[in-house]
Amino acid sequence: MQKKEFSSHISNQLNRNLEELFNHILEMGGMVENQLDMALGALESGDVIAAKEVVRFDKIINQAEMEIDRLCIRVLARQQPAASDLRLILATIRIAIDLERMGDEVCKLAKLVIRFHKNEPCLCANYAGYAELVDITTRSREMLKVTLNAFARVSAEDAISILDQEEVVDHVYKKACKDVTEQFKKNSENVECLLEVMTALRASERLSDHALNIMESIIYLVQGKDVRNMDQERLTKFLEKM
Amino acid sequence: MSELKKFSMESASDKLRLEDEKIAIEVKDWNLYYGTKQALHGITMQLPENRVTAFIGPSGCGKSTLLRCFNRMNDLIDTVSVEGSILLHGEEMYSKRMDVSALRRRVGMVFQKPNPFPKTIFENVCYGLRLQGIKDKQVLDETVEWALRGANLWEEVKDRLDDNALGLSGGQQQRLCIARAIAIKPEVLLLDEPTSALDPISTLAIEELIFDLKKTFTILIVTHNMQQAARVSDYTAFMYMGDLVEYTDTDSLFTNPKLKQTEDYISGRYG
Repeated sequence: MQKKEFSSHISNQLNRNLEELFNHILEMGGMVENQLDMALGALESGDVIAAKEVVRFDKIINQAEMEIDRLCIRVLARQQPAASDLRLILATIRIAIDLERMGDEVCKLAKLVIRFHKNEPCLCANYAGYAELVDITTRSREMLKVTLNAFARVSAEDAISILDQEEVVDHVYKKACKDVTEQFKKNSENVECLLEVMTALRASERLSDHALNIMESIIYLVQGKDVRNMDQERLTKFLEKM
Repeated sequence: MSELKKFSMESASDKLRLEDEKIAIEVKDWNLYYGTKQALHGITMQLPENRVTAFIGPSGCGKSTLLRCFNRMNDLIDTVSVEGSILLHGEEMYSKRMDVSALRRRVGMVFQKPNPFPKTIFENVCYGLRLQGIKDKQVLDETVEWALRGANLWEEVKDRLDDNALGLSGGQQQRLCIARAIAIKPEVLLLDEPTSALDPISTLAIEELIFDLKKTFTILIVTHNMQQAARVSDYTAFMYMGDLVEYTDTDSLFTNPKLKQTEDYISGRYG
């Protein structure tokens, strides 16, 4: 399947609307990428102003999701899309939801920076799990970039390339959780800060889950197959056939 | 627990399968020629019982021609010749021993434009019964009421059965034609663009009627309106230039067709 197929309808109005949908998703994805970049910078440098900007940015991302919903409703009501066009609408709605939730998770990372700054400005990077937090966030950002490019090219093959990264993220996340738990046992004074790190770790791991959801939506768009909830064995078999 | 079952993976992926259906009509390697021009090319398909099967495709693709084969309407055109086999419940429709009038009683048809006879509503519905020689007033009364109720028209006309049918609205006239077709209790009902001359509300009424009628009859419908095919049918056949291109359950055809040609047609792309 090629992207140009979505602009080869007899109805130019439908062509324009679907093109607009593609652009909206890529634009919204770009916003989340920016937000993630800012959050990463804030995590690494403890920059509170950047962290506050991340939180402010979230409102714009929420607006973008609503705009995509509005456009989808309009296309459904007025143009009754079928087949891959219909799958594009459904995939777009799902991707927009995932992007919006990614925005929420990124906000949690930014709020961690803000809270740490109030408590102990310089020590946050020394906490157990913090380096992994930055690592997972960086990998999730890369996964998002790959899936957005895959969506732009309407390529399921490109999208599934994030599966390896997801495995690494899972591994790093488990290790980080273990480290933080160990730290809990050793040092009860910093419980509050460690809890903050744990929350942020969870948020960063969720980022990669949402990227994975976007991959599933792209597979649905291209192949017409819903691969959500497929166990590893069935998914592997399906991906091999692709 | 029931909720869990409702949303289990098995039920979610539950879809119609031809192999699980009882078959009403079986078409085998069916070819039709208008003179030397071949209009249908080796059509092979099975049409399931008590289901609605829609035929879609661009003008001239052969869908109406194929539909007319199912009650031998094409016999009325001198230049038509056919090859192959069509079985109605296992019986060869085109066998020399087949009584064509009897076949048309088993396979009723409703056309694009409502065509009531210039007679009373009552006489329109019992026309086929009278042709069969049924004179018993009680049988006629009961059948007319049953057919009009079946066509969802009874409440609107029960007090004026002796009025001329031509005084009904377009939508009512088409439902009357459906009542006339079902009054003789056919096995199969052929609908050739039954709503193309009707307004949207009458169209929805007919579509609702089709949904009810499939419990009793096997329904084959030709329609130019793809959304209508998507709304009313269980199976859809996409035809192009006399070929059966893709034939599968309607859900699959409209969400994930296997062939690009089908995809292009149903999504309105340049083929």
